[in-house]
Amino acid sequence: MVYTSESVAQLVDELSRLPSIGRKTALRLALHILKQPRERVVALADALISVKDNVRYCSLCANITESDPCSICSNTKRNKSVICVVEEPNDVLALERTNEFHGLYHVLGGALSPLDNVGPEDLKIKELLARLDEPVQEIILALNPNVEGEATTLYLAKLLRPLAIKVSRIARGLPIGSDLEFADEATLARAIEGRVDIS
Amino acid sequence: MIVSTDAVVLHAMKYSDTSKIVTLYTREYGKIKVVAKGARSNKSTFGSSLEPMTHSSVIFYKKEHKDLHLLSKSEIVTPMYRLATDGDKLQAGFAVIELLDVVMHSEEKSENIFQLVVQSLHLLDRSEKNFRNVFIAFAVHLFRHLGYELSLERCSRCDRSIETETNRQVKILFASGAYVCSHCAPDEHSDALGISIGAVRSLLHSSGSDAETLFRLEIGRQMSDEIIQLIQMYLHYHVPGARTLRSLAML
Repeated sequence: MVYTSESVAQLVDELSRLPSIGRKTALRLALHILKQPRERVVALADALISVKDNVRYCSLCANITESDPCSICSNTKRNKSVICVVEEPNDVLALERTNEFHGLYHVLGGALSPLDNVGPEDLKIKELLARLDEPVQEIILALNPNVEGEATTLYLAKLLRPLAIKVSRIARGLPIGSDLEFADEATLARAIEGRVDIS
Repeated sequence: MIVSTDAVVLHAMKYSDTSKIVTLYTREYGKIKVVAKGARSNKSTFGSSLEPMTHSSVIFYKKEHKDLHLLSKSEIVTPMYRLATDGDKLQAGFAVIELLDVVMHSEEKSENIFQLVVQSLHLLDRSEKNFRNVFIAFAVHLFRHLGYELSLERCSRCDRSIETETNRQVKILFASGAYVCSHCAPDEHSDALGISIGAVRSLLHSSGSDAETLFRLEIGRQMSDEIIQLIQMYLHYHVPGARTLRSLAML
C-alpha cells in the first residue's frame, strides 16, 4: 500500500505488529489517532512508555506489577498458606473479580503445549517449587479447561505429589446460564464426574 | 462449497478475542486449517470438539484456492474421556498428532492414515500403561503408509533373519529403512544408526501386535529411548526441514 505520509506509514507498520491487527485495521487506528487532539495522543504515547518502563514481574508470583513484591503478595491480610496457580495475569484479574479467593497466586506464564514448543522449562514451575520452602497447606490448580491446561495440571500434580501438600483443582462442568441439552459429551461427563453431595 | 467430513484435531490456536484457528486432519480433504468463530466463548456450540486429539464430525465452508476455511459446525464423534486422565498418556497423544502434523502436507488425504490416527488415539484412550508403545506402533505404521517403511525382519544384504542375530548392536540404514546384520557392515558413507538388537526386536513386536499385546509389551526405558531416537532421525532424513518433535522430549 502506498501512503502519502511517511509518519502514517510508520504508525501503520507499528500498529500492525500488534496481535489480531491487520494492515487495514492498523490504518483505521492510525487515522483515528490523527484526528485526536494532541493531548490525547501524548497521553496514549505516555501510557505505552510507562507500561514498558514501570511494569515488571513480581519476584514471588510472577504476576505483572509496578512494585515488587506485588500488592497481592505483600498484602498481610491474604492467606499465605494457599496458592492458586494460573496460566496468565488476566486469570488473576478474573479470579479477583469473584471476591471468593483470599490466598496468593502463582502465574505460570502459559501452559504445556508441545505443539507450540512450550515445555516445563518455559513456564515458572521452578519458581513455584521455590515458594514451597515456606509453609503452604494447599495449592489450587486453576488452569484453563483445555488439553494444554489438563496436561499442565497433571504434570504439576505429579511433581507436587511427593511434597505432602494438599493439591486441588477447580471444578469442571457447565457454565451458569447454559442448557444441559446443548452441552457436549466431554463437558457433561466432567460435570457428572465432579458432582457434589448436597444431602 | 459447504462440505462435511470426519476430522481429528491436530492443533488449535487463539484467534482474536473469542475465536480459534484449528488445524484438522480430515478424512476427505487431508490436513486443513479452519477459523472457528466464537469457539472460545462459554456459549460456543463447538464445545470441546475442537480440543487437540478429538475425533469430530465437522461442516465447513471450503474456499477454493484458500488455505483457511470457515468452520460452521463441529461435534464429537467418539468421546475419549480417559485420554486426559494421565499426563504420560496425554504426552503420547501429543506425540501422535505432532508427528502427523509434521509429515502431512496441506490437503494431502489418505483414508489409511486417517484410520490409523483415529485407531491410535482410541488405543491410547483405552490403555492403562505402556503408552509409548502406542506412539511407536503409530510411527512405524505411518512411515509405511507414507512409503518409507522400516524393513526389519531380514538383513537387507544377506537375507539372514533377525532372529539369528547374535551381536548386540546392528544398524538401520536411513535411505532404505533396512536392517543390516552385524556380519554385513554398511558402507561407511551410508547414513545409518547403530541400535541394539533388543530395540529392533521390540520395534518389530510393537508394530505387528494387536492392541492387547501392545499394551502388555514391556519395552525398557532405555530401549524405547533408542527407538524414539531412531524415529526422530528417520523422520529428519525423509522429511527434510521437519522440526524436532517437542512432545517426544516430554514422552
